[in-house]
Amino acid sequence: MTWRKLPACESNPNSTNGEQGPYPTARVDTLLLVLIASATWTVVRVNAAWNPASTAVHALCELVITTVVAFVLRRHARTLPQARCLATIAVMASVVYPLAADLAMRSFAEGSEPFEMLMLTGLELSAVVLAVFSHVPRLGGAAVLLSSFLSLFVMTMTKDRLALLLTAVYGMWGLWWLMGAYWDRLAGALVASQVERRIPVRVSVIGGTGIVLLLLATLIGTTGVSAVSLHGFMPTSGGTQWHDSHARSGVGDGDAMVAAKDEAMSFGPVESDLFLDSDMPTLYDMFNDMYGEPPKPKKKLERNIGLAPSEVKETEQQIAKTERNGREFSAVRRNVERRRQTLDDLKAPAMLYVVGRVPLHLALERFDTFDGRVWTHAGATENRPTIRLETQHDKPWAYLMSVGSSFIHRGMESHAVKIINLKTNRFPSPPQLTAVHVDKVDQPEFFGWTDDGVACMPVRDHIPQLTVIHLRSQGVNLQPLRGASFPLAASEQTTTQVGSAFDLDIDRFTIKTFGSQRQPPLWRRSPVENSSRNWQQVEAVVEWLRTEFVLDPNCPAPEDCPDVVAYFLHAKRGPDYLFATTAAVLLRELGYQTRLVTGFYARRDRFDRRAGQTTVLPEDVHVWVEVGVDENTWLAIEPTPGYEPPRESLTWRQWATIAMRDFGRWFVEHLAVLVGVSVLFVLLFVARCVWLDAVAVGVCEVMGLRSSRARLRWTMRLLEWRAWLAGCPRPRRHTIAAWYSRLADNAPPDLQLSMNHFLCWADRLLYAPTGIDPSEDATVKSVCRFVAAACTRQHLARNLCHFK
Amino acid sequence: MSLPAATPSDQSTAKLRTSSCQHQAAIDGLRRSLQTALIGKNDIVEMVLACLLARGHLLFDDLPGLGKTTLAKAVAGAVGGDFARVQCTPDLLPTDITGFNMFNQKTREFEFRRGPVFSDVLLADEINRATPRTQSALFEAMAERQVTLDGQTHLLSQTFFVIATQNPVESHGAYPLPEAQLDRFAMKLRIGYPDRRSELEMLAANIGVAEGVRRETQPVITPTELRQLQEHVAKVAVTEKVREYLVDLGRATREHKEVTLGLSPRGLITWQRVAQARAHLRGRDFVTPDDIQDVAGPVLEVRLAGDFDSAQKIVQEILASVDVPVFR
Repeated sequence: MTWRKLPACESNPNSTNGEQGPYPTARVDTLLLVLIASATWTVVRVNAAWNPASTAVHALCELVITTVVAFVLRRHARTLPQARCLATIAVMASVVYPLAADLAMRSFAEGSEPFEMLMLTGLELSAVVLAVFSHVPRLGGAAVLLSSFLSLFVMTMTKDRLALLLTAVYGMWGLWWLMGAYWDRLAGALVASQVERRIPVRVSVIGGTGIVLLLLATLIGTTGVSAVSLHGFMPTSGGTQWHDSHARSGVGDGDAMVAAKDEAMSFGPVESDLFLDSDMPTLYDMFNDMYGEPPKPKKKLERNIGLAPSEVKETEQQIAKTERNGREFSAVRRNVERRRQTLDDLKAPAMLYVVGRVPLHLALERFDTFDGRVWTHAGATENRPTIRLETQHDKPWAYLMSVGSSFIHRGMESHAVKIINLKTNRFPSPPQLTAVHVDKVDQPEFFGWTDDGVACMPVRDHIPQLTVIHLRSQGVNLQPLRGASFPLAASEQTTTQVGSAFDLDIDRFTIKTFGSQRQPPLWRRSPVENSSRNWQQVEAVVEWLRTEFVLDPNCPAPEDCPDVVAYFLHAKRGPDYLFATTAAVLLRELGYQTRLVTGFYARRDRFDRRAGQTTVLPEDVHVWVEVGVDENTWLAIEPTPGYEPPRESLTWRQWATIAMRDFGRWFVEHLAVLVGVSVLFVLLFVARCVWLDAVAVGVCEVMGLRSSRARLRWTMRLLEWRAWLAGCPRPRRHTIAAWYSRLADNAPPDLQLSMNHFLCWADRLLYAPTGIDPSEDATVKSVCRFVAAACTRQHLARNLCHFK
Repeated sequence: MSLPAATPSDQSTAKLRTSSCQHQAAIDGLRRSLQTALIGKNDIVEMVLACLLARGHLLFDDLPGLGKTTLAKAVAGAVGGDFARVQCTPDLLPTDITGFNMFNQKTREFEFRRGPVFSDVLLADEINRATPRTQSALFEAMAERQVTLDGQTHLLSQTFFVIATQNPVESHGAYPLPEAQLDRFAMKLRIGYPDRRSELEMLAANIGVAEGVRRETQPVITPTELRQLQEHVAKVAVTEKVREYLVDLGRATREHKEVTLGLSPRGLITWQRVAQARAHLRGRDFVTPDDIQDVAGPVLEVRLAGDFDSAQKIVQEILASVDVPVFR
């Protein structure tokens, strides 16, 4: 305990309760100063977030809600001690809230932030709360102190221009604030002459904190639990094996890897100069694992001499190798137990990672010829566009086609594919792939086409593991196709309508290659027989397959099936390659050019929010169909249910139309429920006063059972509630007695007498130190019941509303 | 709708209302006496009684001929103590109020000649016509109920009660009371014109009474009884909830944007005392926010200074800015 001179603020005769503050006009200034620091912090927080939009909304909501709640609390603080108490509670809540909210987010939903961001968010919210309570002088100073710490941290964390600009503004405004505070303190010091005995706050806080830390250090140091107690307390501090997947940086590599610059000791899916080789499965291995192996020719095996078990394995491997060389895809397969051994040994089961919008179809191989059982590629070299290399922002981009080369192209989309365990020299290609970029690869000969029209690295056997491939693809708007006569069927097209190269190869994509002898045509079995010949007919076929057939991976076509399409149409179920085969054949019979595509389907549910990428696993191999609409434009369609169709780039008008159509459909489907709920809500609203009053009466009856005081108190609350329901709530400056004494006006004598007694007791209960005489308990309860019954909402409205 | 069987009787109501009032007869006598002197102004009479029981001093700020002097004489007569009147003019000296030491030729000593402040009720008529020097002579007497002259302190009556009047319309040759002296008054009242019925009643009462004939008011209580009553009023309970409300109102006067001089702590104490008296006059032994609100106008109007035309409006704004404590 020491004697100290009161600061000027506490001796100000005009101040309230002697504590108006070192800078009485600084409340708005303080709040503004803290808000600038808060805005700076929000910029940094949003920039560091995985999902900037949601984080920005989250941060804004936090800030607004904290400010509003703090203002509400301040409004309810009658005295400075109350204000200090409420501010303390609010600050504690501000510190705890970000941690609790993040814990809930980690447990129940996606979305989390690094620990240090949460701590700084707590600091920010605490500063805001203190700024709102800055009419209490010490709290205003604390708010400025916290905001300066926040700005200091922000300056060390970012190089963002906006954040630095806001920090500069904060500095200037802070200087102004300090000048004002200084002059005010100087002026007040001239009249400060009182002394007051107080506990030294700073020494107490600092000393207490030091003692606690010393005790903790002693306890932890002597018991040898420091490694456990401090284990990972600061994720970014490093030094332990503990890691936080949400950390922004640290000693370990974590989930977010960075490219090594010097003396790389490890490698990962980042852009670097390292290209390593490893044993990786091919696409064929994965199809065999997923769908089973194609059947072996029986007659050849029957004529061979039995082999030893060790040699059988070798034979199977040779068959698989032969298939790879022949570029076939058999639509007839037999189920075998999936082989996972090789994949389980891998550290990361992913074949590749996709950064960007999902779901996404990534084509790896295309087939144009079908014999009823097996898809093959004819091997004809099409006239592919010349690949040109351009440098953009010091990055080499290989352009595979011209931007906007087709009338259906609209907008661009970017993806990045990280090769993990996939062994191929083909680029996993989204539909309408336009450009490819691989870091450091700036030689044209590294980019080329395969025979079946897939972009690849022709000079390599396979793309090195952990290579990051950046892809640009064009969006498509199908609306022009839906209205136009489409497509140019083989029987209708003329030489002058399309390019020569397309003319030459067009037969490979039509039904003439295998199905011309089948009667009747397959499409006559579908409901699209009479559809007009444009893209809507294609969509009708796709929709028919997606709705009428069932995806069943365990229902392949029999091995002796001569025509898998016929079998599938009969069985109405099957794996995705039968859906794709059937769609391709049906569309060919309708005169469209189609080809089968195998590759990967990046699923939406495999999106890893923390890593910001989608994992593609071996079981994500998929088969779909592409329909040719002009010389170089093939549109992917998805006939298999359960797989989302490739996304269409819509105009705003189309988007609005679809949204309204979907809403209308949803509205019609749920019309009964909506009407029921609406009627219920209307009834509840119309009768709100009745049931709310009934609830209040029930609560009053229950709570009043405890004692006559409780009965009296809850009857007062009932009157208050009814007055609010009646639209004439008691004004804040009126007492219970003053406002409700009007209920006795023009009332029957018994109500006047009861009301008089009730209000006298109410005054005594609320403001007298002695309270109600226990001998009057029965009378009090009786009068309260009588008043509650007599003073209905209508009575209150009649007697009170004209006083408002 | 019928009254329940356990309805409290009138007797219990009376018990509620007068549970702590042991001097109700004296108060009723004072009230009747003042109401007889000032017809049709019962609310003013209640305020005067509250001021008297709270040991405060009263300032009438009103036009001539509205009954200020009549009411002051009635108070003095009803209390039964000494009554003195000072007609304040610019040439009035401080010693004309406090008294002075006069050299006695016979005894060859100075003798103290008491001034009008040595009475139970002092009427300072048109106080704003006295010079500030003379006005300040009342400071010590009003605040501490004593007079110090030539280093010698003379105690005044324990029931010393100042009723001052001032005319707000005649500013020529007047000296406005300083804030320091205004703060020593408990309240400022404006009597205002009586209503039609009261004026008719007044005229009827004056028929047959010759002009200038003095009507004496019979004493109702003695100064000693008044002193006991004042001590009893000072014990009226004020719970913490009500005190907090009072403090919040005081803070609100200082934070009001149009008020340059808010309520002082002395003013806050005076406000509480007057509210206690008001509660006692209503038959209660505890103060409610209603009591505080009822006396807020007279108590604040004499103290608040600022650039405003209507003090009543400011008082209403201050009252409206603070929530009445109910369930908290």
